[in-house]
Amino acid sequence: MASAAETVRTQANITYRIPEGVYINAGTDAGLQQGLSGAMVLEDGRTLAFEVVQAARKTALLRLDGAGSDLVGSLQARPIELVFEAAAPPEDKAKPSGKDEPFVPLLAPARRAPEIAPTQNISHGNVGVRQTYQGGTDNQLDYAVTRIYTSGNIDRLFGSAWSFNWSGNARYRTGDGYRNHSEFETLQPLVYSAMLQHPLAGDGFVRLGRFLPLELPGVGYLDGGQVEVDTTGHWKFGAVGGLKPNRVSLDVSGDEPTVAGYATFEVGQFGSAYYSGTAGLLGALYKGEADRLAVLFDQRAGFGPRFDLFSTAELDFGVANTTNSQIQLSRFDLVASSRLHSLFTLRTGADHWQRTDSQAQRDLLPFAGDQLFDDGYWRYWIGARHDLPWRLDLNEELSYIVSDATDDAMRWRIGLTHSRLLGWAFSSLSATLYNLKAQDASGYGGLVSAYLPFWDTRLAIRPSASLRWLDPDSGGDGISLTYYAVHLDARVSKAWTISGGLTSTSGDGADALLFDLGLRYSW
Amino acid sequence: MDLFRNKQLMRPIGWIGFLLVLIIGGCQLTIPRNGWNKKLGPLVPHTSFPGDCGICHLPDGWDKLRADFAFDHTAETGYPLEGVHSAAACLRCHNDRGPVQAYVARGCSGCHLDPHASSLGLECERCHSQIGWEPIGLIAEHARTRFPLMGVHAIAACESCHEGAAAGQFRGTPTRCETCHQSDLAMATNPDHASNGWTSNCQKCHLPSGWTGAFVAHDFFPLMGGHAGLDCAQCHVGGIFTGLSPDCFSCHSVDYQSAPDHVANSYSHDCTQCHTINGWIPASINHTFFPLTGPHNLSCVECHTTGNTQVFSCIDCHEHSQLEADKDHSEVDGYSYNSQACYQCHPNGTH
Repeated sequence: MASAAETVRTQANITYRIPEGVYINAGTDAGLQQGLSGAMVLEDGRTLAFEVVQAARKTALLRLDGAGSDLVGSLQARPIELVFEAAAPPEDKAKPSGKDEPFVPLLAPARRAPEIAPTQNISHGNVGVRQTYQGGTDNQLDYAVTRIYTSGNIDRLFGSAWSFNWSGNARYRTGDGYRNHSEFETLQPLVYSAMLQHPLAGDGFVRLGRFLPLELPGVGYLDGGQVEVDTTGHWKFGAVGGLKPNRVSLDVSGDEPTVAGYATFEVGQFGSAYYSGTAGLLGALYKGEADRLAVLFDQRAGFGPRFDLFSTAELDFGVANTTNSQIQLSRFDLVASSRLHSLFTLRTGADHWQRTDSQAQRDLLPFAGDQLFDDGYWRYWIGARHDLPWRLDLNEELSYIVSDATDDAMRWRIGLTHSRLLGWAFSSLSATLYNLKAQDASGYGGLVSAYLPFWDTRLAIRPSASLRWLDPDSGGDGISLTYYAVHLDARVSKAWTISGGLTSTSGDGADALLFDLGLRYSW
Repeated sequence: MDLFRNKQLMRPIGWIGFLLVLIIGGCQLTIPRNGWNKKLGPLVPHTSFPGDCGICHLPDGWDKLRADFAFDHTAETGYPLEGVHSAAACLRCHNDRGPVQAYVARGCSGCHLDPHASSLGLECERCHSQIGWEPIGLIAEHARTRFPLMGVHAIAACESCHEGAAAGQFRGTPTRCETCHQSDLAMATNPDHASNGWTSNCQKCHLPSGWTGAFVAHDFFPLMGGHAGLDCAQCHVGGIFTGLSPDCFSCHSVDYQSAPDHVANSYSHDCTQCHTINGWIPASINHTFFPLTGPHNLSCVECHTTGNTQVFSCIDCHEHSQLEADKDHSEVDGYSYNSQACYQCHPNGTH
């Protein structure tokens, strides 16, 4: 934070406008205080004078000079830069409290604080049930799955700053299609998240329970704790540790204690020039032996609407006592997108995956041996998107896979989407064509799908159909309809949603019909 | 539909239904959605809200929202709420767990747990859309991978191949058939795959549409004519599929023995001299080693006078007087008056 009389420059966005001025998403955390004045620099270089009417920790109301007030209508959500002379912070706000200030409407008359009960146990979420049944000409394709699921959160637990977040489901699988599955005819609960979270100073927090760190997802699910400290500058530091649950069933397990430390560097403002990178070092034991030591690295960068880049990577150091354990890049995914013109957005990327030879991985495999520990694959792709007239969106992609285990054929796909059919709001019609390169088979595939909403999207119908043409050498005999499906989503009320559909698949000597029905309650 | 009479299946479904009714009933009674409950305080942290309360609330009671309350998220914030997001409760995103700007900067995984733990990259839109989290068009999406879904693979439940699908684990599924089909391989006893060493490269015989009706790429011995449509075991007796000779006689020795005159006439064991792959009958000897043309277009016994086809006679027709023959060949070195010698110098039967 700047010292007194120092010129401060800070990035912000206009979040809301009212007749008296504009709200921005920066407040006392950026050095703004009531009564402070300065200059607002717009994207196009224009400068407006402002005065802070009121400031909270992450928001402030600015009054603009007469000339500026006419402009703000076009500035909604646009990035701005504020330039002002920093003032010494008031003593009572010098220490970050870690809590939001008590709720006081910013334009409330002086000395009239509304009497509002403390906020507590605010809960939103959903619970639903879904039944899927498939029957086919081949008994091995028959299956039924019953799934009950729920997710949600409770904020301000008993009036405290703690919140609770949960997500999970329970499934029951039966039918010959699942006969070889480890959870055949067992009611299997699956808990994705059951965590308590408490904010710390700045954007810091502490988490406890079952969670998957959003800040570094490569760590995976953990039963344990996480703490992140916000230095209120560009850096955040975090540590996470706990027991990794079973990788398939997510049952609590003590086999794989895992710890990770990470640092996040952020600079710029999302929506304009922006960079965020998180690097972490992860270590894990498996059944008492060192099994995994890896660097995880996630990045996001953007330069306004013109360029976006994100990547995620994992470098393993091969500490496991297994045959093929070695230093290797286990996964890498890079996507770069550049909007060169409204008609042309260039997209390109690469992704790589190579199985890590750790004992935890080996215990997941269907059989022992080294044959599955190969070099994995690299996939390179390049594509483009075009926003065409008549609300047409054209996209193409060309990809190439380099792999020891299978073919290295070029794959391509091209898709065309028409939005707002005949002015029908939110509706769309899409067609995708791609080539097929499989073992001993090649040809072309196609997918046609539509999204048809009715009554302000309260009812949506999603029909789709898939076509295929195989080379005669691959046993093809012309174009065939491989499946057609129709899916419905109906929001009966704000709380209730019914969804369902059917999919009919045919050809290749096996026909099947899939029914799907779900009911969800949201609050 | 026998499944629905299955008590093992229906019992948990019943319990789940009962539990669901309890949960929903409880929620319905206690938790408002977009309403206001004085006991709860502000449902959404209002610290970043405009001071003009009348935008949302009626002046005669804080617990009532305006009937025409609407918040155009796109116009007011620049971020459009599409699909299911448009119906989500505000607090699912705007809550105490962090600034929503930070969420947005991380993309979908800013709010949603990435169950794939980054293994599928950061571009969730490849499979998911805002219309619904359940992906559609995955068969087309799978065509981008090393394993396009064809045949029964396009119908099978995801977890059939991706054991950890429910936990978000899709990467690393082997593309080789035998890795998933270990149990099928173990059960393949007719013919016995294991004893014959057929434990990999399943695609040589099987199609993605199913294990039955396996097609063997039998190019090394084309299964044509009489060999087409046979059961494997008719040739591969005892489940032995290796080391079988391609020579006809190795399989057809019994046919040879039972065929008329073959033994008695000592017919060649090279069956192809007379027979074709289309069947034993009609048989026509391939007599190219001695053209049966012109005066030699005769019945077999005219030359093979003893009935043994390995023995033939020239001199019974051509020259009954050895003296005459000796005289005609007086200047021929190595001449001998026997049929074998005739054939040596006259392999086409001409002078």
